[in-house]
Amino acid sequence: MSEHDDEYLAVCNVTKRFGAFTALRDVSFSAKKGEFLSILGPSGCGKTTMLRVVAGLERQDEGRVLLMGRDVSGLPVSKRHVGIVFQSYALFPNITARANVAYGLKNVMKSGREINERVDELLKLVDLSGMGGKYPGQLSGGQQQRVALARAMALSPNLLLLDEPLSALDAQVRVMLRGEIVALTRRLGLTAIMVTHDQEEALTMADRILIMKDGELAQIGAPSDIYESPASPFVASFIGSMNFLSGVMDWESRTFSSGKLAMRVERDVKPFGAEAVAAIRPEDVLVSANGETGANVFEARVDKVEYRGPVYRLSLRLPAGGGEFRPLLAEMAAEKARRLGFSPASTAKVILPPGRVHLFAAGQGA
Amino acid sequence: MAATSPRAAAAPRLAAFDGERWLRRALILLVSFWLVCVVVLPLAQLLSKSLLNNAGQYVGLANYVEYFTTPSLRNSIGNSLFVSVVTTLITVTLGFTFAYALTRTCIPLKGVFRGVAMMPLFAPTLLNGIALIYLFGRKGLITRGFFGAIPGIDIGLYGPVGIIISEVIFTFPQAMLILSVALRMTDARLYEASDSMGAPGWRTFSTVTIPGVKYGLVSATFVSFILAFTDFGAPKVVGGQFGILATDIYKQVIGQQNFSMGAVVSVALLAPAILAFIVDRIVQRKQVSLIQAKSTPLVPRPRKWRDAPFLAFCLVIALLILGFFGVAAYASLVKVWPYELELGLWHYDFTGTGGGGYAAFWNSIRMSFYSAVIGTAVTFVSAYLVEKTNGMRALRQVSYFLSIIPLALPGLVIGLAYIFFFNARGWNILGVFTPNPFGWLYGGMGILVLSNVVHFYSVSFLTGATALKQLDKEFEMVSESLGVPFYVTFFRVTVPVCLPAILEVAMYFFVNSMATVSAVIFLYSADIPLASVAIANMDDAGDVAPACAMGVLVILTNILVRILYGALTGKLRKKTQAWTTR
Repeated sequence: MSEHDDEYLAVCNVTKRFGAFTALRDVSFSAKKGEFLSILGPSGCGKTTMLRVVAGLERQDEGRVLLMGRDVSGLPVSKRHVGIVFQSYALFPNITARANVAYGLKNVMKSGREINERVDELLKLVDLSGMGGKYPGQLSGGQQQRVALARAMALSPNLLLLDEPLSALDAQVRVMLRGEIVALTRRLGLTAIMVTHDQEEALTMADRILIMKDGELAQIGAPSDIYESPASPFVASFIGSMNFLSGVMDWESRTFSSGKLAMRVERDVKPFGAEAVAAIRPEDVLVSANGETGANVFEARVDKVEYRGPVYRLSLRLPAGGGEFRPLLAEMAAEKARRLGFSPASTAKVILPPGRVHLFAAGQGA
Repeated sequence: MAATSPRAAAAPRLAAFDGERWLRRALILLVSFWLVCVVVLPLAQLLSKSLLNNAGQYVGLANYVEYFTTPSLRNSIGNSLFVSVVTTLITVTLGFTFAYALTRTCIPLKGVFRGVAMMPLFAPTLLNGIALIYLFGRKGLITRGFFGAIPGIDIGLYGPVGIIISEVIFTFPQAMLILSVALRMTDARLYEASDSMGAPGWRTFSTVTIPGVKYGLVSATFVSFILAFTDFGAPKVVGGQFGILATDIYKQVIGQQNFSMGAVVSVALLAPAILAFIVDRIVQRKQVSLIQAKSTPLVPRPRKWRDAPFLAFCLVIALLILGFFGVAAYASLVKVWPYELELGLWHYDFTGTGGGGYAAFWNSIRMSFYSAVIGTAVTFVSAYLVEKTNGMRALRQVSYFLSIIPLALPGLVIGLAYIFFFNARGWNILGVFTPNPFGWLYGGMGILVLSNVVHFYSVSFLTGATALKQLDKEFEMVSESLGVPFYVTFFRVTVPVCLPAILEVAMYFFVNSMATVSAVIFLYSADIPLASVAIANMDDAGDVAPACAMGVLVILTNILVRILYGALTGKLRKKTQAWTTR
């Protein structure tokens, strides 16, 4: 099996249409054995369809799905050996948690003792030993989720597919289960794909994130790569928040200007045309009260100070000459904000570190 | 499970023959095929019959020309429309008031009122007519002033008056149930908004209440109209010389053996019913977007000045219904109405009367039982296949449409179409004579059960579909991903979870098969007499008291079945409480 470890799962040029609507357009990606992938995107971007194509619940119109080097495109879900956890859990309400977990085992195991042992093992795995006799309706949301997980893993699937598995849970349970699901897949060496619209979930759980938009793959990479080097304004604004400034880039002096506002950009970007969009994350904007000088230091007006618990968010205006202003958001630790004591209508010194300013070609859309 | 061994990457697409998917596909095809055989083809046969003369030659529209130039036949259209429109107006008004009292006021005894209001559902409409004879007929309780105790009044029962009263009683529970659902589905927040803006009560009623239930009103109107327009039982008993379409079909076919004219009248009966059905469907489709997921239920608050008149109204209606059926029960026990008022079971003997007596009664029970078992199985399985199959949209939509068509078909039309279709020896298809493959059904229990299954198909199908819609749509996928065939999950999960709805459908089939006369009156054979047909025949022969007794037996049986159903679902609820409560 080792020869396929790098491409344990490979999705090649998959296109899926529903009538005139194209849900997936030429999507390709692969997963290594034991990797935890997360598909992230706004609603209607095709992420659930992607998962269903991998599962075999939908058949793609073009392209192939390979599992361990074998083309499974023509196989129905029942022959792909995948475990699926649905958003609603879809636990059968009229049979106990045990019977739910054992549901698929009856086909592959002969003796009742064998099934019982396997179910015990699975319930222990998801920390539900002793709860097997209860009906789904008698379990809490988190417990139902675990039963669904145990049931999906009962047949030792080649692949675990999770469709928004945590979206129906309370915030605290959700955070706890995040860690547990990842730990479980690691321990069992399971390859998993999780669909989510919650960026924090994707950032904390996944080894790699696939960002989708309008049926296409917008970017794929490790969470930190995607956050630090978004490939497009869309990705930049979808994960975390981002300030955008449109203007003109002079590649020789590496200076970006928007109106009279000019700044240096030191990030390594392959040059494109002159029309450009500069971007910087609010937490990368440095704000201070005292007079600093140097590259990319500007004087800004404070419009609004927003309290957000651990951080403060400032709405600022950068003068761009001719009475024009450019809006800018800045974020800083609460402790610092309190120390500096900003108030609306005051002024502040703003530094946009040249190494933290991103550049995109104009017209890529946010 | 052992991991699948890696194989060469060049596996052909669609390598695996997915047996289950094909099985489902085949089953859905089978559902469509079955509906074509029992609905579409018989109707087509009926239509074609209306274009032939009784010798079987094609005569174009000659039968229709004859129909419209014969005043006695033509007038029935106007008569039918008149009685149905008047019935509808009265029923919807009474039904709305009653439903409003049950859902929007704080009157006591709501459960009792609802139960009493449902009673007409369990009775053959023939019995409605017979009870009216005992009340308002020539020797009726009211006509004779309670056996001469007070001055009597003759309301001129036979004719439109009698038909309208019977049809109002018949359609009242149906309209009331539809309107109760509509009134219950209103959003309380709209009322709070109206109150907060200081709108007076009548304004809230005309701007919030009525618009909120308009689809329910439309539906209740059409349902009452179709039921009254197509009913056969009551007009047969109290219609007198007042000709309406339903009795005309019967007279043409049974009285004059003029099958072609029977087919023409059937088309005249079918056309408005289908029209009403289509309009209702279009209106109902619009309603879907109106229901909001986050509506707050309206909880009525007691208001004495409002609740008292509503209570009085409900009491009057309930007493009228109880009195109505009470008179029927009493009359069936009286030795010789109205001369010897001794009570006893003479009329429950049935010896010496036509119609088949207890044999007919037991046949009806058998037929209703078969109809309940087969009808429930067929409608639930087809609802499952239509609701829970992925893909095959076109075929599923066709099946769905065919499944709700029977809603618009009057029993008499089904009966007559079945005579034509199942009694045919065969057809010339492209010049080749093809013998009728279904002919063996004719003249036995099979065709009776089949006609009932089709007659009551749509409501059962829709009940099943509604119950199935409430199940998680991912159950099927879970079981597929676990390698469990869909039919295992169907029996292990779907059926147990939907059992309350399944029992309800079974009861619906049983009760209606017991009471119906319209479809089966054309299809029963002499060796299988039926209770409802016996009522009609005994009444025809002047044996009104035994006919009444038989009607009372049918109603009692149905109430018993209803109680049994209640007990069974109650037990089931207790058992399933384990998995439905948190």
